[in-house]
Amino acid sequence: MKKYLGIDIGSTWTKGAIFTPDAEKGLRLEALFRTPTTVDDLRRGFDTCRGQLDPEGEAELYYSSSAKGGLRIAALGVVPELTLRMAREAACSAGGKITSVTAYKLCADDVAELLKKEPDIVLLTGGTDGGNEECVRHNLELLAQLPPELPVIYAGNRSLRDAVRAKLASRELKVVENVLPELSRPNAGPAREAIRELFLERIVSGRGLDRIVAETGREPVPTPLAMLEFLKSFYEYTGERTGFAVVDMGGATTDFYSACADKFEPNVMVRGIPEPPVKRTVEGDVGMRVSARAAFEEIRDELARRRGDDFAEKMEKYIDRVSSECEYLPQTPEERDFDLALAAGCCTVALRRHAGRRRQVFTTTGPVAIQTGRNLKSVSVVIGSGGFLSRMTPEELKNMWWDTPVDPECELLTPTEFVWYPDVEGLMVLVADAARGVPEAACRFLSGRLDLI
Amino acid sequence: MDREMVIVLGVIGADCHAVGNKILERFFGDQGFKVVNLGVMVSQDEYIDAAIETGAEAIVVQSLYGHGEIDCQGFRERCTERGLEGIVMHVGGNLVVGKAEPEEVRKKFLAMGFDRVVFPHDDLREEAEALKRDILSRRTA
Repeated sequence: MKKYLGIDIGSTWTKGAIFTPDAEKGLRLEALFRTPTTVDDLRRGFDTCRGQLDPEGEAELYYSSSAKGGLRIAALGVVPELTLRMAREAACSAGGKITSVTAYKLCADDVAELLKKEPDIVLLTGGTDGGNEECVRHNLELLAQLPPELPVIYAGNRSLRDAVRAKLASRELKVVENVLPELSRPNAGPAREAIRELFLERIVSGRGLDRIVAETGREPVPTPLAMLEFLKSFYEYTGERTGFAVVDMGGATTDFYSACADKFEPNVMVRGIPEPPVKRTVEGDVGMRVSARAAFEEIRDELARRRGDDFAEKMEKYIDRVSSECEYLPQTPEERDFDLALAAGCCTVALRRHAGRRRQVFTTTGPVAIQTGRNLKSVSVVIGSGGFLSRMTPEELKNMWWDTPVDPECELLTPTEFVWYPDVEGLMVLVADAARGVPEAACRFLSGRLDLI
Repeated sequence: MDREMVIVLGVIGADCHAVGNKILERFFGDQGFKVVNLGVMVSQDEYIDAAIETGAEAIVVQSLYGHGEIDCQGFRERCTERGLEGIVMHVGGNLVVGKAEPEEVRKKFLAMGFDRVVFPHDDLREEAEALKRDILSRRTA
């Protein structure tokens, strides 16, 4: 019988699952296995996992890797809400992690700051096709001074391609279609593909991944990209009827994925670049351990209002501890409570940054709402993934979002009625891997687990 | 070959009159401009963002609901502040509430920094010519 093996090389665990075809449910989960990721040589952990699940080596293999926490990208654009927004979107949808964002003209300090964050790639955008040249030309002068081993992807104004090639001739350079050829036509695809190619060249070449590729004849994809592609096909599979979201919360970052369509509503004016059907944002300063301190700073005031100053003060000591001892697990009910509060704060911050906004404007014909960003109101299923959320009870998950809007004048477009599902066995990403071989069966498998159909 | 003339078009403020906006998009397009149309209910910053990103040489502001004067206040200064110093700016429509002498209205909007003010019965072809002239003279300035 045919078998499919999905393996994910994460920063802590290397996990695998083996599936066989199932006439009714699409796939049947045969076995799960996990082993600590062997950071110095990823192949050891990978081989252990593969050997355990598929000793004969007969299964069709699909694997992903978030090794090094994914590709680190410095995003550059002209206007924050236009090309820079598209640069961020391309980076996030390719599974990258944004290290810095810079709009308009760079100055020497910006370049120093950009380098300090040690990006793997610089994604340079700016100007619609035939549009702004001044900023991009200015930025090229400064980028030409970057260390030659730092690759640049240019996805900006088409008219400047020759200038870009001439100026950045001595370094690795990929020139692709503009992320925003016209204001009404977002085009993240080609930049995303260029990032994926660089991921293979850069990340794969180190720490044993290249040997895995040589032995298996298969290339890995970045873990978030595998997830995003799977969620896209799952959204299509459900006939785009069910809006859903996935929150993947780890020690250092919180990823937020959503798949939903905006319904037409009277007296709502949608402004800005059109939103894609499936979107990922990643918050690098929001997480349960490495980023606990930054996340706590952001939620502290709101937490003190909700739980009292005393609680927030005690929690701060706990935050100090977990951010220095990242392996630490709560030992008392009180510490567990702190972890829950932190998780709720992280989820809330990630959600608020992902969601769009509406504000009321009074016109001569009555009130009209101006909407910018993503409308998550139709999201009815939320999957909690990652080590912490996946181990929570549905009861605990219910308290994962704080509902108070940040600004009473401005409505946040967050889900209203929805059900939480914990990704209990950490299966999501492994199904996403298998989905690259059998997309339809993988979608059927997931929908069976979520009781959607 | 002459460089294409890119203009940013839109109805300012809380004004949702969409028909005139569609007509002008079509008209300026036929006259050889590349039109970046932002539609209705456009804020000053949206015009400016679009003009920076598309390299537009003119901003054409429409207003039909009579509150144009309030909506346009400080627009020229905002353009200057955000790096669009001297960009060509035209404004047209029913710019004020009630009956006001066109010359008074024109004076008011010119003082606000607009280069040309257009009224409902003006000839649009003249406006297109004036817009081209203004853009060309700014290029050679």
